[in-house]
Amino acid sequence: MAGIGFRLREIVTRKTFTEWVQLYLYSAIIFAGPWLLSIFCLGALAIFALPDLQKEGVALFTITVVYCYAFSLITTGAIQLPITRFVADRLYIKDSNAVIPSFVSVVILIAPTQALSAAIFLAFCELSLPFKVAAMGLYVVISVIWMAMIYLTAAKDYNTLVLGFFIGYGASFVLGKLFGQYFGVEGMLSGFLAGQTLLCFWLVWRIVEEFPNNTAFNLDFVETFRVYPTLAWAGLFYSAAIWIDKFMFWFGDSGIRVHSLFYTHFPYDSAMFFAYLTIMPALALFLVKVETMFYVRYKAYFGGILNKEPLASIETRRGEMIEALRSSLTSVVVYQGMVTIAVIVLLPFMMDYLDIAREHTPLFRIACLGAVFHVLLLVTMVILLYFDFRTGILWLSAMFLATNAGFTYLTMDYPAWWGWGYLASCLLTLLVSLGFLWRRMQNLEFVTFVQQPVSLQKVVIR
Amino acid sequence: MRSDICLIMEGSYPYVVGGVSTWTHHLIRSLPEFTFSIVYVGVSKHQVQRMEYKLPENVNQFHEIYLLDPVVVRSSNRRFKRAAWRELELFIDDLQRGDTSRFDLVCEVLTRDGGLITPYDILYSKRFWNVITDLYRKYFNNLSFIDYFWTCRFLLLPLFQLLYSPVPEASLYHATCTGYAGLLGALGKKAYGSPCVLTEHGIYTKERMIEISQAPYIYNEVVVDYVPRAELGLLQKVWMSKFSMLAQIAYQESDQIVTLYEGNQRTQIEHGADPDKCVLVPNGIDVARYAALGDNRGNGKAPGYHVCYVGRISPIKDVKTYIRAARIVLDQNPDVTFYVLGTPDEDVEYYEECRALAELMDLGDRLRFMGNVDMSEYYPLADLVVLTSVSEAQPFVVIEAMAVGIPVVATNVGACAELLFGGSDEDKRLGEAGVVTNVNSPEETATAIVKLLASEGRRERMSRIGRERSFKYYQRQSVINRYKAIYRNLMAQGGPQDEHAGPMV
Repeated sequence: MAGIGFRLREIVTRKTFTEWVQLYLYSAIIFAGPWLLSIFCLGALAIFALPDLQKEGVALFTITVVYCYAFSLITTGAIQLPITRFVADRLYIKDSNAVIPSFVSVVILIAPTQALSAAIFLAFCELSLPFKVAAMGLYVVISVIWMAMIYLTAAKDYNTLVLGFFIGYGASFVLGKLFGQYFGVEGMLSGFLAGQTLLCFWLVWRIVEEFPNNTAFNLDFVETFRVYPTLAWAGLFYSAAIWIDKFMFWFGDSGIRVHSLFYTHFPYDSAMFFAYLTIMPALALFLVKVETMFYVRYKAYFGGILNKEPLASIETRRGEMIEALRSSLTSVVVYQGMVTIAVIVLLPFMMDYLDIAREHTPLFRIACLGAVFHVLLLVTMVILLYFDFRTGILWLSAMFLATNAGFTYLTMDYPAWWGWGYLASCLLTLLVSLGFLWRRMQNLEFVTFVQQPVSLQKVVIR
Repeated sequence: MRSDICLIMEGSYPYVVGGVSTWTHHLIRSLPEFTFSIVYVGVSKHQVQRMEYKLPENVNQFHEIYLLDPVVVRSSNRRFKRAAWRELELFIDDLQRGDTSRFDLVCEVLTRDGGLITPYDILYSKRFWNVITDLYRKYFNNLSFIDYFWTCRFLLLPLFQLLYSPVPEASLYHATCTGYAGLLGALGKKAYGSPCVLTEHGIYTKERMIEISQAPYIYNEVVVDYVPRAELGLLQKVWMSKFSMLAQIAYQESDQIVTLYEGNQRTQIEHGADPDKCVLVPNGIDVARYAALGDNRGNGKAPGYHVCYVGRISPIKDVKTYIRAARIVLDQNPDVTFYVLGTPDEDVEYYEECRALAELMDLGDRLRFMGNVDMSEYYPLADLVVLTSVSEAQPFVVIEAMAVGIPVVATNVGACAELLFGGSDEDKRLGEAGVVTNVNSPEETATAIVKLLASEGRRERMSRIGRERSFKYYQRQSVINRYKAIYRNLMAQGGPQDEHAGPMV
């Protein structure tokens, strides 16, 4: 019988929408998680470490840890989202055998690279050998921890993750303080490293327990980078954007040289880290709201499409999803707004308690306000990831990096304007990101359907 | 490079074995005085395995068009694009009422400047989205949207792929079915002003109708079951109206409409073909070669009776009815061996089902799947050839069996009755060369087999009649001569002006 007329089958029933769904909740945690942890850890240690060491010692210790966090987050920023995607895709198609080999490969690639770059950096510093070794170790261990977190969050093993961090940071704190008492700053760093190493092993052990494995080594994940280069760039730009203003202050005229290549800035650093602590409520609330309200509607929307619903009811579901999104965002804004206003009002008293001069109050206030915009930006970006708007994320990350650098450069010479650069950058990027989100929501069906691929690769002829 | 004749194949030659491919291959080889270009229209490059035929020397161009491998090019001509979209919208809207009168205009608007609306636009543009959602709200509200969307894509994308594909220049276009091939023939005619011939072996729209009503992958809002129904779902109707539209265009644009036998010709005329353009050219084979096989019939034959099914193993051939009939026959006459001779590659799943059915029926070595075999080894040994298809055109196997001198039991589809009983009155007077049964009726097929095997005299008579009929009416050379005449005739008409007329588009 001549004629193909019609062998256009199978594609009609192809299902690809659900693939994306699970992924972005992980991304949310991955996006926000390391950032929050680094701040928590530093805040606690800076407060409790002081009595044992000289002020310079504490400062050196703190800045070393901050450097480790900052550079490891930026360097691994490029691979975090693609790896997240790879793991989620593999788990979605129930190919959990691919997980461990890819993890092993990632670690084998990352650890030597990070060790080498740390060694090169430390070669230019006049520090004792034990300190250098500990710093290098810490840098590598922390980098591996970020990777391990991706794999564990993909397994949705949140309890283990939290418990691991609790134990790891507890050990870091205890050992750091203990060793610091007897062996000075080198001891403190080694103790801290010991705790982090414990955490690292805990996470790796959990991963090995969680997933089966056949082979030890597998470079399949590299393909993910080729397919989603935008995710890699977006991750890199975003993590660079978070740190760029701090770098500029550290290495600017008002930066303080702690030791050789280690710089810090007072009061900018303190203001920023303090501000980040104040947005905890927003992030916690957002995660809860997304899990409960938005995610349900989101699933219902794509479920409706797959369940062959007519256009009108798909549109209704979109309306409900937008409504859930709106109310989630509103409650985040309202509650975070109340917290931030309270903080801004009470700030002078808090600064007395933290033993920081009251003249820095305006900077702290601006930083707190900027952080609110920052957290809202983060939230909208995560939602855009839910809708697979990768190019949008790339543009926003790039814009965040460029504006944060640009505005900070313009304002850093005028102490009265410190913090305004960050605030303006966050606000501007947030507005653009809300615009993206609004447009995306208006065009959602168009984008969802039209993005579906047509190519018939490897379809079996029946 | 210009060819004399551009043959347009859809899903057949040179990649797929079958009646149309066999016919095409012999046609080209037997007309060395013409140069041919071949355009193969397929679904996707990724589906093609290997060429089943070696292209003859006189084929000077071979082009492939894959309907679902989109050409990703955007037209930069914004000025006319808006107008083109408007035309397209009106055309699609008309189509809902079965009105194809805007086709010429749409083709002209769309193909202007190398294509104003490209497959890329059909896939990715917001404008296309708006067109189809407006249409949905107007005519299809409450229908599964995801199925509607894919239907739109798969309905329109192939058309735009064709509009966008260059047709090789030729003095004559010969489409081997309506559908996409027919459309391409019409486009070639428009582009170069050359005449166009259409040969339909089976009736494309009818075959699509069977497919569509059985296709579980087309969403049907009513019920899903497995028997063909008179009542089609909305989207199935949309598909059908597309294929009827394509048939109408092909009938309209063709200068000569050929089919194999009268029944098909009636259907073509019902579907809008101009009776003045219609001619009959039956299939033909190398009768002498097959007759020679018949001359040593029965030599070295194993004891017992041998019944053969010859053809691809696919649902449209309904091999399962053959298997069921075998069971019934064996219950009455255990001295029969049944053979299934043909490739299982076309539908491996169906082949497995057939094997399982044979096992279930406990046929053991009384029914043998032999795969792709050399028929010259089997024809001399066969007592009967059985055909159980639910749809056929003018099957080669029946003609071949008649030429060898084997009586045939065939279902009453396509030209089977005409082949076995005769077409013209003179032909009918020759007598019957086989038995015709109802479709999907193992009992009838079995009864016919049992009766024929029981009567050697009847088999002898049928054998003689079949050989005579095939010799008289189904010689390949006369088929070739008919086509040669058709080609010469149309080229002579289109020839002179042809030299001066450049591309119209």
